[in-house]
Amino acid sequence: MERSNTLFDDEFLKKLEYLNLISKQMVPGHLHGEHRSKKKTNSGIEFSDYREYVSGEDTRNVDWRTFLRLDKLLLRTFEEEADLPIYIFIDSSASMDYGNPSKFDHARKIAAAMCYVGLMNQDRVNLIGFNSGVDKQLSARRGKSQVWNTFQFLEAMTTRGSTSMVRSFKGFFSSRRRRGLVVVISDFLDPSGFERAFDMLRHYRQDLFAVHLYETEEREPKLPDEVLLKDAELGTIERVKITPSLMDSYRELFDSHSESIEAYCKKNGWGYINTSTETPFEDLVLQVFRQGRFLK
Amino acid sequence: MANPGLVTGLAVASLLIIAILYWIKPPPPTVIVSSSILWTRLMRERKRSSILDKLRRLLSILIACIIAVFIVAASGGPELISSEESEIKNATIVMDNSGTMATLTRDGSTRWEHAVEVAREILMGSHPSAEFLILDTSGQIVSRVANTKWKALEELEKLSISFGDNVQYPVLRSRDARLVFISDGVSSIAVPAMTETISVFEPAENVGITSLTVSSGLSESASAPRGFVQVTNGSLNVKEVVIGVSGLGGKNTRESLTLKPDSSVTSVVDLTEFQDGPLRVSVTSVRDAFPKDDLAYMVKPLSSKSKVTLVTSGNVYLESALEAMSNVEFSVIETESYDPMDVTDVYIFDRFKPEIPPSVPTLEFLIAEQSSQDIVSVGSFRSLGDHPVLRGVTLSDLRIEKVSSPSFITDDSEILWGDIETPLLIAKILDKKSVQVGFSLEGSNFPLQPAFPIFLANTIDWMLESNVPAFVKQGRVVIPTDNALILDLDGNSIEANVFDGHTIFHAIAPNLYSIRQGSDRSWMPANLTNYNYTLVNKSRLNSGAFSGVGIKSDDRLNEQIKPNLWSLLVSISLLLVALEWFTYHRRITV
Repeated sequence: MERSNTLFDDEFLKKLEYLNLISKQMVPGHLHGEHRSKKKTNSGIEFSDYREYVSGEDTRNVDWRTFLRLDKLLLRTFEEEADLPIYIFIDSSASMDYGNPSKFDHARKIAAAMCYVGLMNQDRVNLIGFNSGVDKQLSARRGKSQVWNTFQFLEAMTTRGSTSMVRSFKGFFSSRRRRGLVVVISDFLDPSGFERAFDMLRHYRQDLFAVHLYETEEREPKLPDEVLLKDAELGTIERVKITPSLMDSYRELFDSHSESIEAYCKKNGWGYINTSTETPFEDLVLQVFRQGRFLK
Repeated sequence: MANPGLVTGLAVASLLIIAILYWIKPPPPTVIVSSSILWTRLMRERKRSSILDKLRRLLSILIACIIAVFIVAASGGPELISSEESEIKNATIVMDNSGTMATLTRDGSTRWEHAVEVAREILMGSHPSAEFLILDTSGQIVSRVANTKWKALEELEKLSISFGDNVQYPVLRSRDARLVFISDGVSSIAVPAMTETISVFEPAENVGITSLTVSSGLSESASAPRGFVQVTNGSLNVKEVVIGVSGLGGKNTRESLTLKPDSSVTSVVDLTEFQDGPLRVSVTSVRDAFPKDDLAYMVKPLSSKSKVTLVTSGNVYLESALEAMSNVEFSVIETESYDPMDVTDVYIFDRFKPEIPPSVPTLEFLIAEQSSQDIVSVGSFRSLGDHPVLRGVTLSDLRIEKVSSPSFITDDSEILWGDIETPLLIAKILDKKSVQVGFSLEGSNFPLQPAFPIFLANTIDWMLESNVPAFVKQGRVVIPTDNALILDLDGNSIEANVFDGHTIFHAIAPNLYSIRQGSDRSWMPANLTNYNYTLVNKSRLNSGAFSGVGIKSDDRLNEQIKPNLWSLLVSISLLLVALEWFTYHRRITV
C-alpha cells in the first residue's frame, strides 16, 4: 500500500502496526467486540447472575437443577457483549494551526492511531472535527477495512474558526447517541471555558478522555519587550509589555489552566493527558493505552 | 569649566533628542498567537495591580535623561569649589625657561619640573572661573589671551627649556591680575614691580665647559693645531675635574684638575695626533647637576698647506711675511704671468687689478693714488675690531700716507677698518671671499707692524675657511647656504627652513651638526659654552623661598587631590548605564 501523503506515510503506518501489537500485549485476552455492557440479557456466553422467573418468559433459560434443589424457578442471566462506541473529537479551530509541526497535525496523527487500534479491535469509531460547532464527522465505522476511510477523512480536515466545545458537543450529542468513550484532542483554548462543555458530557453520561495538546512555545513564548499579540482565532489584538514577572505569571496561568482541566477530569474519573507537540505521537498513544481507558 | 550657557544648551538639546528618540520609537511588532485568551486574562489581572508596569517607560526615559545630562555636564569640566577657592583671582604666570632651569635638584627632578609643578598647583587651586595667562622668558608663547585653567595647563605642558641667549621678561599689557614669576633667579631678567616671584632655586654643583676654540696653527707662532678648553667651576665647593678629549685617529686624552669655586682654567689640547674632523670634549665631576655644559664639540681644521700665489711687480714685505708662514706653500709671479686658470687656493694681488678675476679668494692691496691730506694715524695698541681678519691685530703708531679712492666700495662691501670716505679694509662675500686693503704698503708703516703677519694669516685663514661657522650658539642658527641638509650627531635630519638663500634651523645643545650641500660636507658644533649657564648658583633668589613651594611630599600631593565634580558625574553616568543595562535585560525598563 503505497501512500504519498506526508501526514500518514509508510513510516506512520508501521508505527500504527506496532502500536496495535503493543496494545494487545498490554491488555491480555482482549478480543473482538469483547467490551462488556452493563446490560444483562437472557442470551450470551458469560454467566452473570440469577433472577426469579416471571410468568410469560421464555423457559429455555430456567435453571432446572436449581428448581429441583430449591423448588424455585430461577432464570440464568448473561452479560450482553456490546461493541464500544468511540467518539474522537478533533479540535479543528484556527488555534490548532500553530507550531511546526502544528498541533492540528499532531492531533490528527493521534486520532489516526486511536482509530486504527479501535477499528482493529472491532470498535465503532466516530470521528468528529469541531471548532465553533461540529465541522465534519465520520459516523461510526468498524473493522479494518475502514482504516483508509478514516485516514482520508482526517487528511481532508482543515482548521478554521474559533472554538466552542459546548456548541460542538451539544450539536453532536443532541441526536441520540449511545454511551461510549469520548476522546477530545484539543488545546482547550475555548473562550467560554471547558467546564460547561465537560458538564454536558457528564450529562450525556459519556466517558471522557481528554488529550490536551500544546506547543512548547505557547508555554514559553519568545517575545520582544513590547508586542501586539494577535489572536489567531478571534483576530483580536492585545498590547503587552513583556516583563520577567509577566512571563512568570503567564506560565503560572498556562499551567493552572492545564491543572484545572486535569482536576476536573480526575474528579469525574475521566482520563487526561497533557502533552506538547514535541512528544512523539506514538509515545503519547502508548501513554493513553497505559491509562487503560481506551483499551478494555 | 566650559561656558555654563553652552553646557545648559547642550543638556537641553540632548534631553530633546532623547525624548524624540523615545517618541519616534517604532511600534511594537505584531505576533500571532494561537489564542490570546490567557494573555487577556493575565493583562486584566495585572492592569489592576502593577504600577511599575506603567512606570517602566517613564523610568527608562528618566535614566536615559539623567545619563545624558550628567555626561553633558561632565564635559563642561565642573569642579567642587572649596571655601579657599571661592574667590576668583585671575593671574599671569611667567615661566622662566632659560637654560639654567635644566639644573637638577636634590630630588632628581629639574628646577624646571619644580617650576611647572608650582604653576600647576596655582592653576589647580584656583577658582574654576578664574582666567590665566601663561608666558615664558624665551618667547615660546606669543599669545596674550587669557584662558581657563585647563587651557592654561595645556599651554604649560607645551613649554620647554630654551638654551638660547634671547632671555627676557615678556611684554605684558597692564591688567588687573595677579602676576607670578617662577624662576631660579639665575638669568639676569629684569622683573617688573608688583611681581610675585616664586623661587625654584636650590644650590647645585656644576662644572662646565665655558669656552672651546681650536687653532689651525696658521696664525699662531706654533704650527701644531691646538684646542683651547676653558672649564669653569660653578659650584660652591672645590671640585675635582677630568677633561677628556676624544676623536678619530688620536689617543683619547684625559687631564685631571682641581678647581676652586667660581674659578676657570684653560686647558690646551694638542690635536696633532687626531685626524681632521670632529672632536668631542667632555668634563666630568662628581654630582654634576647641569650635564648640558659637560659636553662640547670642535672640529680640527684641514692640516694640508694652503697654496698662495702673490702677483706683484715686487714687494719685499709681502714676500718676507708669506715666506715665514709654515703652513703656506707660497709662489710669486709677475703681473704679466697672471693666468686666472692657474691652480691656487688664494691670490694676493699687490697693486694689480686683473682683467679677468680668479675664481678663488683674493687679497688685494689696491693702488693708492689719493694722497690723504690728513694722514691716518692709530695710537698705541689699539685693536681694530672683532672680525676674524682682525683677530689679534693690535697696532701701535700706525701711519698711512696714501689711500685708495673709495670708489672700490660696492653694496656688498663690509668695511672692517676705516669709514665710508676712507675705507682702509673691506671684506666681500659673494661667490667667493675677498679682502681689499685700501692703502698701499709703501705708503704706510703697516708692513713694519708686528701684527702684519697675523693680519695676513688671519686673512688667509678667513678666506679659506668654510662659509659654515666654526661654532654656533644654541637656538636659531642661520647658515649662509641654500637648501643645506642638516644632520645631528645621530644622523637624524633636522627640520630647517630656507629664507633668502640661507638655511635656518634651531640648534639644541649640545650637538654636532653635519651640514651637507651636494657633495660638500662641513661640521658645525653647537655647544653650550656660556658662563651664564655654567654658573648655576648665581641666583638673585635664595633657596629658602623654594623650600615651601615646589617640592612636595606625596602626602601634600594627596591632600591636593580631590574628587572633581565632573569625574563624579561621569562615574554616576557609568553606574546608571550599568543599571540601565541590568534593568533592560531584566525587562524592568524598556
